[in-house]
Amino acid sequence: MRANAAIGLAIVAAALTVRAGYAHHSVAMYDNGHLIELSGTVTRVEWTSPHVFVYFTTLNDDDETVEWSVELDPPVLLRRYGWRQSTVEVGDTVKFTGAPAVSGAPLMRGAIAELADGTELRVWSRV
Amino acid sequence: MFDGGRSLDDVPALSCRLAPLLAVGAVLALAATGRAQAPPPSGFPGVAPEAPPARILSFGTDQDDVAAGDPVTLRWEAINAYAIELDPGQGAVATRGTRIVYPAATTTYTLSVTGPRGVTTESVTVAVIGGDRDAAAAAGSQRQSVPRLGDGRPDLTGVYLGGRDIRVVGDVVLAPGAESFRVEPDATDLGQGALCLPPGVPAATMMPYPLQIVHREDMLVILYEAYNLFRIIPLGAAHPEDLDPTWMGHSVASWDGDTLVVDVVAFNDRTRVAGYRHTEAMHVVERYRRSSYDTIEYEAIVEDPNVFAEPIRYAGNLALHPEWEIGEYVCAENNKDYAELFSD
Repeated sequence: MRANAAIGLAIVAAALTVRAGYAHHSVAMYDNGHLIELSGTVTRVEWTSPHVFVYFTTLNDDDETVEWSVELDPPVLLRRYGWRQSTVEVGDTVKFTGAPAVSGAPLMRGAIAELADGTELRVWSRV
Repeated sequence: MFDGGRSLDDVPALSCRLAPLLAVGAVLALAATGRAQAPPPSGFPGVAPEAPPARILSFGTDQDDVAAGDPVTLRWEAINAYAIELDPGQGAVATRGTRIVYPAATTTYTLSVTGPRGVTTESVTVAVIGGDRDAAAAAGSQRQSVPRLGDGRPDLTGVYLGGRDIRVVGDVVLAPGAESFRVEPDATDLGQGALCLPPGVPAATMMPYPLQIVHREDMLVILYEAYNLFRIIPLGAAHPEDLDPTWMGHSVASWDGDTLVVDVVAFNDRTRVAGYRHTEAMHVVERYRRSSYDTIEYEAIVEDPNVFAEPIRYAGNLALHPEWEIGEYVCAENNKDYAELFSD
């Protein structure tokens, strides 16, 4: 599946305002000035605190398989949005919208997940 | 920890893809001005994504018609909701659930789901056959009043969310020479939260996680879902004199009318207040007033004369969420080394 990284769902806000003490950790390592979309096939799910991680493979511009990971809210918050541990499993196709790592590493902070049936779910309390 | 073996060669060329986003984002920002949309309860740093709407996946009953007073099971499931109400008379309910009702007359039940784009509702009607026994009984609920303890004081017991509704009111005025206490955020300074260490007071109240208050006449217990922290706060007691510094401080409570006043001392100097470090001289006074059944008005006054020339005031509401339970949050379970995670 080809990675369609740059689809501008984002509205660029005036400034980055990260308020100390509100998140498990700073989000400065993510490029919160932009959102990207990535679709892929789930290879692993870490249903853990302080964050859930979903790993998925997708193809880069050179048709090479790349494994990305997306960081989500922890299980206690995801459950309140309607998620369960079984919502996304290995082999599922999922599209994530989120902020990519500033470093260029294949990581993103997920904001919204779109499941194979078209259902969109929050994955970040800030959305 | 992140699995090793990756290099930049494995990373898609994101930078070339991101450039067009600036332009697209700017256009969308212009297009979005004037768009009528229910404001989300929290901000997104730097970006306002098109948050997914709250949806009702299912809402129904196990039978469409019953005799007056017979049980009917309502069953529902929703996603992306900030709040879910079941009317008449059931109040706030969980994301997924069932509720047994006993309609005395033909009743239409409505599920109202509030999300980032407003309210969505669905209704089902249960027909009562054979005449209405007590139509008034099914006409809706009385609005609940503030519950009281045995001594007549307000009972603060319940699950609440403060989160981003708690904010600094006014300006932060530094003491002379205290500029060095300012926290300069950068990508390598992740804060103590990255080490799964407690946020302190009042920051624990401001996390996007609920807290559970258990209140009795001689004691208030606050259980924080975030980091699974707790505070046990005696009423009418004084602070001991030999306290050592701690992350959450030592708390005692007293009443000022119907407002519970919590005095907190004996902090260590490792938490942060309004973007500043502080010293062990920090002193916090919290005020909790249950102004209605579903709201506690919260205020925290933070003093540290070594850092702040004037007290810092936080204020906001704690919203009751009777449909929630405090969950497990074991921060050390999978706390990754972010420095390594994000290295190239």
